[in-house]
Amino acid sequence: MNAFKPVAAASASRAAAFLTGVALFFVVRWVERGASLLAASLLEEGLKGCLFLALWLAHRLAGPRLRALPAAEFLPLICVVGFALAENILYFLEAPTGSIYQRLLYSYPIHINTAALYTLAYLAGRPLAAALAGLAGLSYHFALNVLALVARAPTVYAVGALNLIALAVLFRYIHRLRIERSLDLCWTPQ
Amino acid sequence: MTDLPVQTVLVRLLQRAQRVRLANHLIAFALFAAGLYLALLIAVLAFALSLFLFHLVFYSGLSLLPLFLILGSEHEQTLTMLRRIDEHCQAEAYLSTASPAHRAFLEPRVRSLLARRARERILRFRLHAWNRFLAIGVAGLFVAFQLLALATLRGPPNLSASGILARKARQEAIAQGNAKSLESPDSDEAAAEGTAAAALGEKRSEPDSGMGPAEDTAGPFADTGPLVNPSVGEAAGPGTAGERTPWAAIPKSEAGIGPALRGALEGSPDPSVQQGQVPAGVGEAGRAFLASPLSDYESVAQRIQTEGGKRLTASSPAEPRAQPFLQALFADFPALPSLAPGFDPAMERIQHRYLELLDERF
Repeated sequence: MNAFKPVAAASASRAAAFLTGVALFFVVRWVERGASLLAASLLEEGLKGCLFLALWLAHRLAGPRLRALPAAEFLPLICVVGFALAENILYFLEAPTGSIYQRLLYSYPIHINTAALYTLAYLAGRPLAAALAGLAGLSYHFALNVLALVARAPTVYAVGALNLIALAVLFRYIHRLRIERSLDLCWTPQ
Repeated sequence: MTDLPVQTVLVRLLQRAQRVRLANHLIAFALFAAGLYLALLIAVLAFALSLFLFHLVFYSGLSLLPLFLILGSEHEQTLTMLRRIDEHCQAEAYLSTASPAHRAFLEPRVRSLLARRARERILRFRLHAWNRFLAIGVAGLFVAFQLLALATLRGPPNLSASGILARKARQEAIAQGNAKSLESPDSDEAAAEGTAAAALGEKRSEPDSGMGPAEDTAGPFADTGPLVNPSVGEAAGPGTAGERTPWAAIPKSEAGIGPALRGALEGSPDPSVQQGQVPAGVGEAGRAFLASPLSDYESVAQRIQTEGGKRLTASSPAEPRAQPFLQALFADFPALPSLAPGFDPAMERIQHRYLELLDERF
């Protein structure tokens, strides 16, 4: 047995997810030209939801093979990281100024936090949780987009701190759920 | 703790291990960012890397935080962590069986094991081996950067009392030269700049001297610029301090200078904003990474030798930079009585269109 096979497969799948995210960014950017803030938020969050839906379908269709892939539930999140990184770079190329670092606190965590929220809902495995997470993610994205129009520097940093706290909390719960799920999967009493 | 189900106790132990792992991942990210920053500084010093690329790479590197939080887990799955806690698989055996008799037999042993593990150091924080390598790498980069900086300065700075006094005298000479050039750009400029240039040349010729103000401002963060928008200085005409800011913010139509420009156009009550004196860091003013001041600074000594008494600027040794659009944009704001209708329809249209574009953009 090749011990490195799962690791190589995991690396390949993650690289593919990352590149898919970069490609999706350009598709979304093309689609949402001239769209309103709400439409743009809806489109981007809908896309993220579709990624998790695709993962769920893949689990249904190729369950054992996907389960052999380590941390497969993170693939949509990696895709979103690629999406957000491409957006960051494009913004930098359009506005190469010091203020661009504020995106790392304000705009960038929006994508990561919503994707983490959907990962949490996916791990919870309940349709209601998924629907609530989708609604919360959309509201959060739209609210911060609107706030960005009027926010000044102190607000940006305050929201940035809250974003990072939310990121930490979400990842804590994600890892907790992963541990509980893996215990349940590994040791079903017989 | 003894009353809790075994699985709950186990989950808590595994969560503690998970926190240690996450802390290690965050440390790895911090070390990665520090290493990237130092490597880019070395590239700036050694290869005159542009500030644009410097910040592009650093910004992209900082964007990789989420990957550090979620990757690298394939070798540390729950099972691996559990085996570190429960090397004889007693907990696994307990969880795998549904038989009450077996569970009753195993439970005291498993509880005792888990209680012991909770007290032991096995799950306390330890720096991961990869982080140790990363820390060594970052320390190596730091040493390399310091050596390179010393080589660039041609020797360590003289921190003796006489060295500090000499440095202070040079700084004062340069400051006086700059002040004179600002006061009388036509008549005294050459003499003042000659003083500053002579002081700078003297400093260059003494490799063991301390750092002067010109060097203090040179570096990767020199792009943060002066406290006011350098374009204001440029609007004041050739020979002013504005010309010595090659990293001047160029307000792109898409990037804009944000709220500061909007405030200036709409007649903000803040006099500094109204006059276009936009503090660096407000909006995008004065912080564009479009040119490296380091390369300009490095060429100053050569320009002194080749051009002698000619007027010397950091950005353009021979001719002042011609940026009429900047002058048109900023120079007229203080002179505007108000943005009353009928002042200049063409200019007003341009301003309104610019604001509309800004609104559409963001």
